[in-house]
Amino acid sequence: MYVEKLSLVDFRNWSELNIGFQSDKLTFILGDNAQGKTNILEGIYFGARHKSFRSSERLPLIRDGAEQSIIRIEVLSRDRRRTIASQINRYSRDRVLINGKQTVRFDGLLYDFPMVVFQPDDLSIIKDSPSYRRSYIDEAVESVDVQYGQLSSQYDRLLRQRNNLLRSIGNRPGPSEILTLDVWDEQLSDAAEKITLRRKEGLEELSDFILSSYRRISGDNKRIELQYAQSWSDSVLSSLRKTRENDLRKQSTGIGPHRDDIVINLDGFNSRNSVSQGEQRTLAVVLKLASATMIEKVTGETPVVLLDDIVSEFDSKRVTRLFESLPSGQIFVSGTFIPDGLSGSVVVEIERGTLHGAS
Amino acid sequence: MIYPPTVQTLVDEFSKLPGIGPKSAQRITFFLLKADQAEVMALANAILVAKERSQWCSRCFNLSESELCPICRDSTRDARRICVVEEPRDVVALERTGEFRGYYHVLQGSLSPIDGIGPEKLRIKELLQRLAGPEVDEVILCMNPNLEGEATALYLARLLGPFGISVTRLASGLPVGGDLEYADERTLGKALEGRRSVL
Repeated sequence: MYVEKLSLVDFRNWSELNIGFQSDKLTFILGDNAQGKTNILEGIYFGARHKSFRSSERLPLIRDGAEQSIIRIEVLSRDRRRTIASQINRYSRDRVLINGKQTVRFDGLLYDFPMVVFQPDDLSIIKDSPSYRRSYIDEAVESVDVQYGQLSSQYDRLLRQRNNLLRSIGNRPGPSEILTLDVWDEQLSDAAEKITLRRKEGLEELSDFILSSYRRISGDNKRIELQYAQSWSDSVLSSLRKTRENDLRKQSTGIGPHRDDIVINLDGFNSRNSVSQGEQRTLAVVLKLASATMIEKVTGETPVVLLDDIVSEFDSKRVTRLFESLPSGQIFVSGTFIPDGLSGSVVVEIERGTLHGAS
Repeated sequence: MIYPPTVQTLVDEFSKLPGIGPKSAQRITFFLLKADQAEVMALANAILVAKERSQWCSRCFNLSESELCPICRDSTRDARRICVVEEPRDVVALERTGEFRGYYHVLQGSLSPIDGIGPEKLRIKELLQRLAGPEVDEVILCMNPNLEGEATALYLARLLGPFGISVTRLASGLPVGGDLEYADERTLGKALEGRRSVL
C-alpha cells in the first residue's frame, strides 16, 4: 500500500496541511523538536486506521479552538486507489468515508490498509507488562487475518460475561449457577483455543523474520528464542474447571489468552530484564519490522511503515544497518537529521509549523 | 437553554426510552408541543390503552390481550413442536415465514451476566413445566446468533437433555437471494462449517 496524499485540517498543531508523497520511497520528515513531525505520522496512521498510535482519547487530536479535525489520505492498495476521509468531531460522533461512502465498521481497516508503526514508547513491548506483548502479537495477527479482530472482541465480551457471572454467584453456587457457568466456560474456552492457536501460528511465522532481522541490525550472532507462555495447560476448558474455585473467590478469570505472555530470550537471558537497553531497543524495532515483513509475505500487500524518531534511538552503526535492512514498500521516518549515506531520500522539512520541500 | 419544568420533565421521560438520546428527546417534545391537541391525545391514549390491555400469555409468554394469546388458543396447530425464542418480535418474524405450525415459548430475554440476567430471570421454569406432559416431542431453539443467544441455547440444551425429546437449533448461514461476495467473514465461515452433503 502507498499513501499518495495527505491532507489535514485542524489536526493537532496543523490548521491546514497538504502533502503529496512518492510511493515506494523512503521519506524523511525533518524538523526541530515540537514542530509537528510526529503529528504528520499520526495523521497518516489515523487516516488509515481511524485511531491514533499515541492516544486513545479523541479530543487532544482536534486543534485547540477548532470544532473538528479532518484527515484525508489517498492510498493505493491492492491496485485500487481510494480516498479515506475521517472527521473527528468535538461535539458529535466521528465519521469515516471511504471513496465518499460512509463506513461504520472499522475492524477490517487494519487488514485493508496495512500499516506498521514504530515509536520510542514501543520499548514497552520488551520491558513492560505482558499486555504490551499481547497487543503486539494481536495486532500482527489481525493484520494478516481479517477474522481475528472479531474473534478477540468476542473473547473480550465472553470474558466480561463470565467475570460478571462470577461476581453475581458469590461463594456458594447452586446447581443452576454451576450449569450457567459451564455454558459460559464452554464458549469462552472455544474462543480462547482459537485465539491461542492463531497467536502461536503468528509467532511461528514471525520468528524467522525476527531472527534474521535482529542479526542484520545488531551485527552480532546472539541466539533469540521466542516462546508463547500459556497461563494454562492441557485445554482451556479443563483448566477453567480446575481453577473454578479460585476464580469464584477472586471473582475474576485467572487463566486464558488474556493472561498469556511471550517470552523473548537473548542468548538464554530474558530480554525483559536481563539484557542491555540497547539490545531491548533493537529487539523492539525488530519485532515491528518483522510484522511488516510478515504482512507482505502472507497477504502480498506491502504495509506502510512509520518510524517515529528512530534515528536518535540508536548508535550510528545500528542506524546504518537498520536502514539497510528495512522491508520494501513505502517508509516514513521522522527525525531531526538525515543519517549519513541516506541523503538521496525524499525530504519534507518543517520549520516553525510550515512545510518546505514537499513534493 | 432552560425549559419550563413541565417541558423538561417530558424531555427527560423521552430520553429514558431505548434508542432515544437527549437531542431526539427534545425533537420529539417540540413536535408534540406544536401538534394538534387531538393528535397528542390520540398518542397518549394509545400508550395507555396498549399498556392496560396487554399482558403476557399465561402459556407461552408472548404479548397478548387475553389470558391466552391467539396462537396458543389455536387448537389446529401442531402441539408436538415448541419453538423457543427470546422476544415477542421473534414470534412475529417466525410467523411471517409461514413455515412453522407448532407453538411458541418466549423466554423474554437471553442469558447475559453483564445485564444481570441469569436463568431465573427468563421463563425457563415455565418452559420445563410445559414439557412435563407427553405431547411435545421436539423443541426448536431459535436464539439470536450472538454470544448471549448461543449461551442461552447451550444452557437450554443441557437442561432439556434428560427429557428425552428432540432438541434442534436454527441453522445459521447465508441470506437467501444474497451474493456470496457480500457476506461478512463470520457468516460465511459459519455457513461453511454447517455445510450439507448434496448427494
